[in-house]
Amino acid sequence: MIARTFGQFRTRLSGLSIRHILVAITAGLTLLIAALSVRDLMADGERLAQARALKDAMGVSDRLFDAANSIAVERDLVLSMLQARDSETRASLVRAISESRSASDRAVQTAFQVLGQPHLSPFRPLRAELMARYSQVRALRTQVDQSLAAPRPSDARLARDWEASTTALMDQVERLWAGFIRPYAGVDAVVTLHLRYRHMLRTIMDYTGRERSIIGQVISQDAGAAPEQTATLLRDQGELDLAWRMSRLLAEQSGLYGAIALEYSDAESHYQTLDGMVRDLFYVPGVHRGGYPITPDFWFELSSQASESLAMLRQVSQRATQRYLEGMIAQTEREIAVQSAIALAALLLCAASFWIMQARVIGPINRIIDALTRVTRGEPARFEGAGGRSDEIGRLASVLNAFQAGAERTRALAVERDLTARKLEREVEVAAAAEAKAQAQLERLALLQQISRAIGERQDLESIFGVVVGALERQLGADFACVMLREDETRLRVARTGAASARRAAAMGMTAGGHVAIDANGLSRCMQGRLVYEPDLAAIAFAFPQRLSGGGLKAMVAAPLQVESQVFGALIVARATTDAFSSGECEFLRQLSEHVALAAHQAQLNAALQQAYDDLRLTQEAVMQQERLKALGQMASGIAHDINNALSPIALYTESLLNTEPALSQAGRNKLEVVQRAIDDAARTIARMNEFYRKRDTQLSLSPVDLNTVAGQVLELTQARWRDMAHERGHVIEMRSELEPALPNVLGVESELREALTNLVFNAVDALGGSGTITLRTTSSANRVRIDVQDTGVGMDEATRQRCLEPFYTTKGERGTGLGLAMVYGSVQRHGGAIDIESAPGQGTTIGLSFPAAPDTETAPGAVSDMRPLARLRLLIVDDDPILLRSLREVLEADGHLVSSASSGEAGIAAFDAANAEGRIFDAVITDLGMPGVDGRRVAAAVKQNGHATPVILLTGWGERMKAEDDVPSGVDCVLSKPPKLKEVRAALAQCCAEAALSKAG
Amino acid sequence: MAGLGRSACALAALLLAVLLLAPAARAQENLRLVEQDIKAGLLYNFLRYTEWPHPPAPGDAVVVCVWGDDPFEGRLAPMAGRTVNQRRIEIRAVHAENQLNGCALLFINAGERANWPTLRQHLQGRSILTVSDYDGFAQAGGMLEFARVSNRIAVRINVAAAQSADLQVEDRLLRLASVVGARAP
Repeated sequence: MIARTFGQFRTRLSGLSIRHILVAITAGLTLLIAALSVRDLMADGERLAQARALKDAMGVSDRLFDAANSIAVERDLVLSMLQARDSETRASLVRAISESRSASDRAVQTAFQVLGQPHLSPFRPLRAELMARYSQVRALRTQVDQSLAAPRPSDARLARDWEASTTALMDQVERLWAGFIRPYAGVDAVVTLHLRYRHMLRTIMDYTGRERSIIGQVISQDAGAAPEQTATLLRDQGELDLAWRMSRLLAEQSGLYGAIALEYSDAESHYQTLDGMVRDLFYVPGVHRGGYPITPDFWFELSSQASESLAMLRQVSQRATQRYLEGMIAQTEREIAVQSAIALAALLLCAASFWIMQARVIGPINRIIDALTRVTRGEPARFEGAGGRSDEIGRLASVLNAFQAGAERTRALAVERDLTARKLEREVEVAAAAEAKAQAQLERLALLQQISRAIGERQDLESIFGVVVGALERQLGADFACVMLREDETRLRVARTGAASARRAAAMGMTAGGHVAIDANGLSRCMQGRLVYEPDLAAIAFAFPQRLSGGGLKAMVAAPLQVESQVFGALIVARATTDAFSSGECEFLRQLSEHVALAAHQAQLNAALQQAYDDLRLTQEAVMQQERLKALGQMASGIAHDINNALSPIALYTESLLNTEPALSQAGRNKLEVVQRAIDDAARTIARMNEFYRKRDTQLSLSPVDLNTVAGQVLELTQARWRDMAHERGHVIEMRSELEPALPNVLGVESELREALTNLVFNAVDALGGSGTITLRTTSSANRVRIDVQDTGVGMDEATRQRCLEPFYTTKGERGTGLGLAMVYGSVQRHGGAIDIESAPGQGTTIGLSFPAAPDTETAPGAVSDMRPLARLRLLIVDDDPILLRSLREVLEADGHLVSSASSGEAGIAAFDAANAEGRIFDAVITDLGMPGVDGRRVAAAVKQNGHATPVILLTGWGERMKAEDDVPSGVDCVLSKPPKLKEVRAALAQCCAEAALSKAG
Repeated sequence: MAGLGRSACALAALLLAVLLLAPAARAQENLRLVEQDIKAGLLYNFLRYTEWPHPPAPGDAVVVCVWGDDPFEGRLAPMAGRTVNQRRIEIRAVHAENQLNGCALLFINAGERANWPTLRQHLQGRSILTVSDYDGFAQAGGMLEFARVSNRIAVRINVAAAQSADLQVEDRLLRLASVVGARAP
């Protein structure tokens, strides 16, 4: 219990600051000092009051003492006088009596006055009694005077009365004095001793008075002392002796003796002397034998003189007591003053010590604490608690300053160390972070490698993307992962979403095949090839982030899939928490996206390679086909050459006949015309055979073509397929032609158009696969002319429709080359036209060709036939075919030309040179191209060799091709195809030789 | 105690004397001795009520000199050692003038009355209270004289002589004495 209380006290005490404790101690000391001072001051005040009261009381008692003494002296004197027998004695006492009377009067009056004071009211009855007694004494005085005035004054009765009254008065005064002084008897030990001493003195005076009285009586009566008187004297003497010794003892005890020693010594000496004078006479019985050596008044005088010494002693001792009391009062007052001063000094000391402690200890300590606080905070501080003092605080401050200086150095070192440590720490942290990063990097690298390997093993995009998004969801902890591919400039198509995020993808409408618009913000930046990280999707106002946010996703990384700075898609990875991706993960995703892009690119390349391989295979097949065709073509061209050569005379003669034989019958002429047309068709057919293996020229010589006519021709040409061959198989193909009348011409090559149209019709026939309807329809609108070929066949699906124009694409298997529609497409494009295909499986196909309409101003080149040679020309004809050579010569000669012929190249050159040598220069040379030995090219070269401008017209079965391929040999001015038509030959001659003629004329 | 002792001794001596010796002769003798006692005691009163112009310094003794043989038969001896006016009393017997220095009171033995004029001359200018017990001393220029009047001791005083010696005699002393010669105003 006590221990606990003490513990609590200690706890509370430890919570107090020194200042508080100091305040508490100071306050406690102050209170203690104040309490002690008040207590002492109160005690001193009481003592002071008591001392003052005592002093007053002593004053009163002195007055009473004086009064009693005065009365005693008067009593004794009067008694002596009353007992004196001779007048001389009485006369000598008169003066003394009157003096003693006035003295006792004064003393009694003074006593009365003193007793009349208000605080002495308890003594009123005594005072009244005293007054009564005193008036009695005064009354007796008159009797005494009267008695003394008588001749024989001795009056024993009066003397007794007087003695009784005055003694009573004295007793009264004594009682008063005793009663008055008694309460003060115990107040102070010294004062008590004083009082006892005074009592002894009073006793001495009393005995002295009695002695004086008895001895005075004895002397007056001049008789020996009665035995009882002697006994009284002896007893009194003993008492007196004792009283003196007691008084001495008391005076010494009370310390009074020092003050009264001299007077005491005087008084005692005086008494002893008096005693020595009278002892033998009055104290020794039987000494006196009649006749005393001194008179009574002499005795009284001596006795009163001794009493006077005693009175002086009394006064001195009264004064000493007075001084003692005054000293006591002064002492008390001094003590009060000193105590007050001490208390004040103690309080001041308290305050001063508090102030000193505050100013010199607590203040500096607080400043030191402040400075220390600043120091601990690292601020600069100086300990100035001492201000150059050399006390403990000063030493503490200087030590602290030194310590602080040391601490500064230590701190500097510590800071340095700290810096080093921090640097190390940072390095360690960096190393740890690097390690962690490396670890994460490794993990991601592993993941990357895993993904890379997984996607490396795959070739198709779909499974690559599947692996990627799956791995991202599983191993990177993505809440959503998808791959989007760029569809066009504004859209992305979702290519693949992860399995785990399928529901989320469905909720967001981002399943595979869904579309996402490229926003202005994130995706567009991603599409520019940058990795986009959106740590907080909800904060982005664009559609795509909001879409993801709507799916509960908070952070997204969009990594571009790009190959060779071409972004073809994006990898989207998202998580359902904000700030979910670290920079490492972003980097990982960027790398992954690169890998994916590369893989995707590789896959695409692979696909392209496959495609290329396929194409190559097809091409190879086509090339093989073409080789076959080429062989066929070469064979055919040989055949065509021969046929052309065969046809040439037929054509030439037919034409010549028709032109030159007006006598022909109409029927013959008609037949010849059919022959001529057949020859033309045959020539064209042969010419067309070349198309299979030769490339088209790109520069066409366009002429107005009537598509209606072409359509009719095609129907005729294809009749065999759609009618004859169908009929053979039991099919019926209805061929309709819905031709718009007055159809505008188109600019083009009729044969190409015809061929294109023929191809379309063949395709239509193939598409029917049996019976059906084929419609040829021509229409025109604005500036366009259109021709449609419609069938009711199987139609094409979308894929086929898309690919049908590609070369080598065929649905016909071995039956088709896959070149038909491709050739059509090429022809149409060369004519500045367009092709559109409407088809659906089972719905048939309509292929429309539209061309710009030709301007009307164009006129058909029909004037050739009317052309006639302007002049007679010298011509050299070179050909290895004698039939052709002859027919051509004849035809040209028929036109009036001078024609030389040569049957070979060498012969031609020789003829030409010979003619040149003769100065008969040919106006033109017409030579066959293909000849054994020297061919047409060398002939032309030879003609032109010597700087001759003689035109050379080359006849060739390949004429069309040569023109197209710019294969016209040097020196050849004009190329004509076999079989040559007279019109054409004429036109060529007219063209070549007009210039020659002009130059000749000029 | 000493006083008591002395008193007891004296008392014993007296009782012995009363019992053993003839009463009458003894009485006369005793009376004479009592007279000497009284005279010796009176010297004390003279010292007490006389003022010297140059009182001895406190601590110095008041010297009572007796010129000639001691008439008090040793009764002055008790006075030595007592104090008067707060000064110790010293008793000295002198037989030559050069021994008078320091004397406050000079008692001249009655047997030396012949030498008194010489002595008086010698005392001229000195503040020494002169006392003697032969008749006519005061008249002869002495200051205080024990006399016998009606068979009782009386004191005569020559105030002028005292005043001439620059001594003041107080009233208390004058009450005991009858004045001889011109009295000072």
